[in-house]
Amino acid sequence: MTVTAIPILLVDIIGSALMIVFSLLAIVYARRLNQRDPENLAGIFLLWLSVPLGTLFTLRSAGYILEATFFPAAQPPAPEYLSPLIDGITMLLLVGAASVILFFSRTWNMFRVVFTERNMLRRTRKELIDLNRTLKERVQERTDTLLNHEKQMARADRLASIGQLSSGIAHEINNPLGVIQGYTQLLMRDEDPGSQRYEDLQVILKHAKNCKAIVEDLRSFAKRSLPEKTETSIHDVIHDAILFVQNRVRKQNIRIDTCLDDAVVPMYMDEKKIRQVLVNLVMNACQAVGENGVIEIQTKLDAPARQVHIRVADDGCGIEKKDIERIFDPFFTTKPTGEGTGLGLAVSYGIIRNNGGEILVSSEPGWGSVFTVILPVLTAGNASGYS
Amino acid sequence: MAARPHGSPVGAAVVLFSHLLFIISMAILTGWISRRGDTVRSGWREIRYSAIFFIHWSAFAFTAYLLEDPSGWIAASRIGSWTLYIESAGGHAFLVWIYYLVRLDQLLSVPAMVFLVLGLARLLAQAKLTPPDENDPAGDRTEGVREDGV
Ligand SMILES: Nc1ncnc2c1ncn2[C@@H]1O[C@H](COP(=O)(O)OP(=O)(O)OP(=O)(O)O)[C@@H](O)[C@H]1O
Ligand SMILES: [Mg+2]
Repeated sequence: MTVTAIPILLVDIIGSALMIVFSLLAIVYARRLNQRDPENLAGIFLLWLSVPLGTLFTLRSAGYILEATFFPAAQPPAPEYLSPLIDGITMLLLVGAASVILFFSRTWNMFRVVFTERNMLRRTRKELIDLNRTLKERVQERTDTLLNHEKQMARADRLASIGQLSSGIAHEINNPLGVIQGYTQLLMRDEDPGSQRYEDLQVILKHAKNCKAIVEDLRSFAKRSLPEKTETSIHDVIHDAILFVQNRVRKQNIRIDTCLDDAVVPMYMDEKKIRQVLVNLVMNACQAVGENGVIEIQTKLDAPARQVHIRVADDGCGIEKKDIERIFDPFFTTKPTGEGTGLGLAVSYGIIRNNGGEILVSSEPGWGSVFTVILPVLTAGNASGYS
Repeated sequence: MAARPHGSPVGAAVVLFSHLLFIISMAILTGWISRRGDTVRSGWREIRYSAIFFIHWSAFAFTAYLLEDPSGWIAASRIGSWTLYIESAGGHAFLVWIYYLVRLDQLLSVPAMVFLVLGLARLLAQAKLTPPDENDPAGDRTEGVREDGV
């Protein structure tokens, strides 16, 4: 039967050309996929599958195009070896592609387990190495915290005995001071305001008042009294303190930033005393930063521990290592006489402890200091207790 | 084009068997992909279509080969450039037409390869979206059993 060869020829020629293009594309894509992640099992499988398939069809198509160009209409006939050669290659690549599929479909799950396990091993190994590397640092960190705790306890002990001593002294001095004050005032009543004696008496009175203030401070450091607690917003107290300090250090051009946690709600505390603590801390910070310093005040609620952290950080001169142990001691000061009595932190310490809280310090000489006040969150229900 | 006359009988048998093996393996691949639930995922879906087309292509090529070579049921030769002389041994006209049809096997192999390329391109695009270390080690995300738990 004689039939037209045109459809077959057309399909073969166009098809062969397309096949070459797509076969090569398949190999290229599979290779890229594999290169992106050489360990991806699917990628490996697709590469192994695409290579024999792509090669098979490229060769077949190229063979056909060659044949159609060089031996059209079988005149002269194609050489004898051509067809077994093409058959052989076809067979080889068909079997190749088939084997890849059979192999992978049988071993896929096994591979998956192996790959997953290997990845796990790798991750664990990496973690181990990391752990090993940071072990030293971790031990150091723990040791540091332990030492810190020890120091804090030692300090609390020392301050407690100093407190006892100073409350005794304060009590003994307070009465004579009152007597001095009273008699001075009596004497002043008989004098002419403006006379020499009147002015002398005024000086005595002023110094007696100073002494009284110091004694008062000492007492509030040592006193273990029940704080007068009212429900107050700590943020209002902070704003008050800032306002107060800013009025006094206007010339220094100090920036005070606040970062207040909205989760901190009003709570029971001794408002006046806490304000005094904050004024002390902010004042110290202002004195430490000098001109153009930056102070940051931050509050944070630690809900699980039912505590509020108030952090006063400055970028000032910092505290020397040897001094940091003693800054809470009464009368410890590095400031020139007249500028500091060294009672600010001692009083603050007493107040915070009296309110069941804690005051912590960390400082880097030359970089600044951070004081953290930790206060228990007291609500109406548990406001009475203090430690 | 699938027809390659004048091979040796042994060669012909081997080629036929390799076609059979190829068909079986591609059938396994289709089943395997759909069993893994990958048919819904682009990429693997196209590869499954490709396998289905390859099965049909192989069946066509197989038939053309079978008709021509070991059986000798069909003898085909070109006359001039544009005509084909096809003769069937028993004078069965339908064999001639079947032969004619299966000679158009490229109509199947081209879509098969196109689907393969499409599938690979989709998978490649997906791989570009996810960094390598987040990929499942086996590239097998559908089964939901990820022992590594990441
Ligand atoms: N923010 C700070 N930066 C650097 N040093 C500080 C800071 N706060 C306190 N100090 C150091 O701690 C010492 C003790 O502080 P404290 O507030 O008890 O006393 P003072 O500020 O010297 O005097 P007072 O507060 O009674 O006027 C200070 O002299 C200072 O050396
Ligand atoms: Mg001070």
